[in-house]
Amino acid sequence: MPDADLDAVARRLAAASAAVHRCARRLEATAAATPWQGDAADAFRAALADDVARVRGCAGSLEDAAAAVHAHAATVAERREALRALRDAALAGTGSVLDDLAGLAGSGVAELVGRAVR
Amino acid sequence: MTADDVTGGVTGLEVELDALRAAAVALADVAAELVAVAAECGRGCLDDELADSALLDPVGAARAAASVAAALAGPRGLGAVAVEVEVHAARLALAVARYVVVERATATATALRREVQGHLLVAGAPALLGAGALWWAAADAAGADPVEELSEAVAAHPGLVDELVGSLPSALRTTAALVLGPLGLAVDGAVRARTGQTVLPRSLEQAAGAAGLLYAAGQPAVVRAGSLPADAPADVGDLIAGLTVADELVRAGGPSALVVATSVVRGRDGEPRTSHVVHLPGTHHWQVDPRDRAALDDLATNLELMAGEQSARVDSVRFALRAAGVDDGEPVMLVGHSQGGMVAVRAAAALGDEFRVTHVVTAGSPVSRMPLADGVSVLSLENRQDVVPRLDGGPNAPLADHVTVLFDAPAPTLAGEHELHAAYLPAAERLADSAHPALLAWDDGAQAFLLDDAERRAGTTATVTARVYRVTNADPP
Repeated sequence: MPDADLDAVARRLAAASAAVHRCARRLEATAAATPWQGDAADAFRAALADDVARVRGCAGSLEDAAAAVHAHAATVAERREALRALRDAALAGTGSVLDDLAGLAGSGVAELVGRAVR
Repeated sequence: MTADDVTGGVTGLEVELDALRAAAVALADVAAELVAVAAECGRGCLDDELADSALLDPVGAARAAASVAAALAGPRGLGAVAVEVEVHAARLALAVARYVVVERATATATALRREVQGHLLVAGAPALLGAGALWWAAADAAGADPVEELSEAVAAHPGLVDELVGSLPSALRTTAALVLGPLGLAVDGAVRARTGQTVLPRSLEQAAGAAGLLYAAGQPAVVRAGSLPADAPADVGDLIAGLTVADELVRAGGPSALVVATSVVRGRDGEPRTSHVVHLPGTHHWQVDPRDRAALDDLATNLELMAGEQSARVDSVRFALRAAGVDDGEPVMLVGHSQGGMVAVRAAAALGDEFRVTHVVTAGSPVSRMPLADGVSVLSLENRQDVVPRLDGGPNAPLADHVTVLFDAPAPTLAGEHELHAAYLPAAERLADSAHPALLAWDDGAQAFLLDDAERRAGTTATVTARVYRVTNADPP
């Protein structure tokens, strides 16, 4: 599972990309709905087509950013999980040693006490 | 037919300016949304999450942060693109505003020029008249017909008519001031109090109203005078052809006439639909003498229509529609040549309280200064060489509801260039071949009155009753 907070960031970026795509479609509709003819109209439509291409480029960049954040979230989650496992393992190992030590100590103490009693 | 020949309608300048304003607003809205998205992402995505997580995945965090920064704040990022779109929106809005300002400045300059021209015309009148008399005598001596020569000269330079007509109010005002002298204002005040008209006109309407003071208002007498054979019109050519028939009735003699053609169209399985087309011929009685006004298709009606006053000829259309039994919900189209077109435009506005006039077709009519009724779609045909449609001193505004078709139909005389059958009918018939969007849209809107070949082939039939009404002045002076 990717990191929840980072994944939320990735989802926000993906939603922003969708919103920007919608903006591009609105720009295209605006160009198509203008019943204007002539050289100036052609220049206007060409400028608007450039805008649409740039806006779509932004949407693509946001998608890339969302993918990068998502990958980062997955890596972070993976590494956090590994660290957690390491800690758990370490904690589990430390516990048995202490138990052994305690057992050892317990048995030694009993032996010492027994010897002393005998 | 090129795009330059058609103004107004769905591709008219008014519609284009409105569309451009709407486009500017749409672009500004998109730019604002892009800015909002960029700001939202900046707040939500460049926060501590990436910084905190960098401890665990420094390379991945750096890559993600770089991607987000490039998408939002880079030279091709969302913020920069939003600004570009905003700039385009502002440029577009500015272009529209600049056009409107230039238009107004041009109109003001034209008005000023015509004002000065009017004064100069009066000042130079003796010299102009003298030169005119000399030219007339010279043409006469050379064996040429001066009237024909003058007709040819005006036909070759029809723009002169615009200027002369536009300068007329100023010239009349100057003349009145010279003739009346210091008493002018007092006389003008007395005439205004009595008639509502001014003898010191500042507009073409006021000038026409002042000239119309000479004539008594008429009272229409509308009498049924039989029927004509008729078929349902398929296009504008057929509408003008119907008008030529009405025109011939008047040319053949007798008083003014108008024809109400009622079509009842039945599809194979649909409800019958009824529509009415009123054909209004032009001026046929040029009596200048105010003591003799038996007809209503006369000079006095032209002055009334131009001045925007109550007109007996407009009233005659109302009476004819009543006599033809037109219901208030049935669509009515008014088709007129010359004065008939002026009557049509004025009647469309005046009859709205009783009839549903939806369409007007004018041929060679000076209607640019007349206000159009709401919801009425007007198609004007104008021969560029014809001086009559120029008698309003300017071109028709390119309004959404007013399509104007300009065409060339030169003829040897001024009358020939204004002639309905020779000049306007062929142009109207050519419109059927036009693919201009404004004309196609006008045709679509007028389908209630038209029955095209495809409908006929589909089995739709029409019964047409063309009633002829003769119109006279029931109250001659």
